[in-house]
Amino acid sequence: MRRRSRLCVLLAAALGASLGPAVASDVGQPHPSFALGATTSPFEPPKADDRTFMINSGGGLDTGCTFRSGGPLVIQIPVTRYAGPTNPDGTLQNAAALVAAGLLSRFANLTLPAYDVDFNTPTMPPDQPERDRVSFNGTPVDVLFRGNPAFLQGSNNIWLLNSFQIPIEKVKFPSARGAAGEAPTPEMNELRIDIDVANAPQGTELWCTAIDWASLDIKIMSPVILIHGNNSDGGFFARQGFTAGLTSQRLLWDNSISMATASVAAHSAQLDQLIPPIVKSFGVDSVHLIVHSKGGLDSRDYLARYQAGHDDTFKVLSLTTLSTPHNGSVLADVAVTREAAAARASYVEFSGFPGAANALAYLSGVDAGTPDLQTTTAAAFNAVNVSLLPGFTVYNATAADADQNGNARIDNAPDEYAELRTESASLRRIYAVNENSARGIVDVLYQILRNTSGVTVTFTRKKILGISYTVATLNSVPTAAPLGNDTLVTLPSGLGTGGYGGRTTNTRTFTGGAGRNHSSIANAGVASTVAPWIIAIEATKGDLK
Amino acid sequence: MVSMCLASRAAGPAVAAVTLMVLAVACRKTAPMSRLGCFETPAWAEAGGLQLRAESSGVALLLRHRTTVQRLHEDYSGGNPGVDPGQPAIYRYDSASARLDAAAEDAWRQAGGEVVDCDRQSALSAAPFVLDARERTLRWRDRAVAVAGRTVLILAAAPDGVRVAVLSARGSVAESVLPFLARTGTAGQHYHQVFSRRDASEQGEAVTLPMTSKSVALAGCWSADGRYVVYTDALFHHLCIVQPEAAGGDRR
Repeated sequence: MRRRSRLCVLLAAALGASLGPAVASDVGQPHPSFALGATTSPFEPPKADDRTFMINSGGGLDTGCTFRSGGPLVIQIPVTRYAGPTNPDGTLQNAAALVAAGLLSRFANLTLPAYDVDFNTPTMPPDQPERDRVSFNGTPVDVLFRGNPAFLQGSNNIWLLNSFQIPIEKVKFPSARGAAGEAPTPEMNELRIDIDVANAPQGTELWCTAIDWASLDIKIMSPVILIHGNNSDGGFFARQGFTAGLTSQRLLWDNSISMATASVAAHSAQLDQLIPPIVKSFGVDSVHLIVHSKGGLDSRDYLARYQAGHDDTFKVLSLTTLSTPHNGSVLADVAVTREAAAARASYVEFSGFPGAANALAYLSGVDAGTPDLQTTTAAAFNAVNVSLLPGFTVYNATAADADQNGNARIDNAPDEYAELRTESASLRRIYAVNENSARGIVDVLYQILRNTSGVTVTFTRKKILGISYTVATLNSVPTAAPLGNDTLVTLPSGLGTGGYGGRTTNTRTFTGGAGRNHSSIANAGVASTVAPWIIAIEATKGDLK
Repeated sequence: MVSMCLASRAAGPAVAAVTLMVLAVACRKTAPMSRLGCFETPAWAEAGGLQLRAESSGVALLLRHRTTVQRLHEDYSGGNPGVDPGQPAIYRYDSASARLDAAAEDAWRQAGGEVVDCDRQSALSAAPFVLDARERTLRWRDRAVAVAGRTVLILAAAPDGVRVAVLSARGSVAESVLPFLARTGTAGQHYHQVFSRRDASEQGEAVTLPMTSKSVALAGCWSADGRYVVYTDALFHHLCIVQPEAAGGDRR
């Protein structure tokens, strides 16, 4: 077979010399030898990352110029990123929907440098020019997409970069996230080069080729990591409908972080341990953080103090806070001041607060996270944290007023605190016994926040039945104007007015009929509000760029 | 209100020192387990963060409390230039005499032992122990672990990677009306225990702590050498220091 081929070539070459254009083949031509794993073409391979999946060594690569009998060249391109549920064959179940939502590119761009593809070299019949058929996951690329050439392109003895558009629904992705913080198990996509197919019917093989490397480039949305608030857990986002909202927006999310109640400093140290393995389990190098309440302060501390240590492996594209008390909460001032005063005094009295304010002490407490929610603590935190937040990250904030009907109080009809009961067994029990009592308790919280900007404490000595006691009095410092609030965080605090707010790009307040309480600020409707923000950010600086 | 084994109001440094000694002795009487010291901490009495450092001699443990402003000043490399954060307040706990005395910053710098930042230590994993936050129970892998109190409050993983301190209470948790503001604590007797992460075996015996967490939550922290576990309330009004090794535990 080889001998016959060579004879034909020699004859063709001789004829060509006298009859017209030179007729050529690769048979007998000297070709450079290729080292396995080396970049043998003049084309540097792209840097492999979470959107560019590149193979530069292994089967089918760096083979030296290979004839049909030495082929086909079969190259396995590993896709290492989880992109959602897959079919049994590894393709995405909902690729079309993801494309329609703008979360996934319609095509994966397949790129490969090919050597010595004599596509246009003249030949004498019956010899044919070089035609090297390209198939992806078993289907010729021109069948996958009619805009693709069916064969490799190139010229004699040169390397040429070939590109093909692969419909995204034909690309195989890992079927699951990596377990226990490991990367997903790569899913192999087969690239096959059938060499010199045009001369196969004649039984000759005239042409050879080689592939240096191959890559698949895909535009795809980064996942969202959810971080809960004080004395809460990752399940909060499911209970309030936020995860369902993200799913309906076809975003990938993780709510596995559940941290025991602790200070901002303790939680940021924990996030430094918890976030990297989650990122790795998706196989990505960029994520969005969406956080509730104190989780926003925890995340800001994490970003300012720890994220730089992870920038080589992943970036945080955005931080979106849901009713984070960026300027603190007067309720924390009341709780901490009262508890501290109680340690020094026999009695604690309230002045200028709603009548049942004292009951707050018996219905709540002070945990390790509460002091960091104080307005003074938040101010000190803002003074050092805001300027050190990473410039790469885009910051968004939401805030809400729970008073949906605008009557300046919390009501049972409309039920303006139902979602708070979901998160509080204590409030549920009170509500079950007496709805008005439950409403009254929540209204006290609402009124304190609405009308109080700060708390002072004075100590006096009083005699009762001849016995001297120390009495602490907590005094309300009134607000200049009533402040809308979600029963824990005021609108200005949620937006970070005067501090963190200077760094925000997207903001939204939920008021009036669209009002939310401190739990429902994480419902599905809010998810549909913030999702476009982070998709736009992804298109600007993330993997959709 | 955190209750101590002996109520005390420190009226001044001298009285405070005496009070602390008396308090320590009183605590040891009411809590028969050896190597337990419980104290009021009037030099602190403010939220912030705790650091621990043992003296090289092994005799004493230094406890350094940073207010929030002081912590931010140090953690953010200089903090807010317009604010003088002042000096953190330090106590020295002498394990031999069970005394807690005020100490100077120099003593902290010269102590020699490894510094533990309790906030950062909280990031240590206690796995395969899991605290079920809803049920307030303890599991080791899939197995329920019996503890001295009915309500598990805290897991504190030791820096040695082996031991976990577990704080539990006899009472049940009273749920807060607004959990995001704070959780309420647990009334009733509180217990400190140490378990091995390897096999969930208990190391030594349960230590009864003369403090509750009814309205102010508690946190636990190990010294770097694993000889001390310190429990404080969220506002740093009180602390208890347990020495697990001295309580009879073997480190497996």
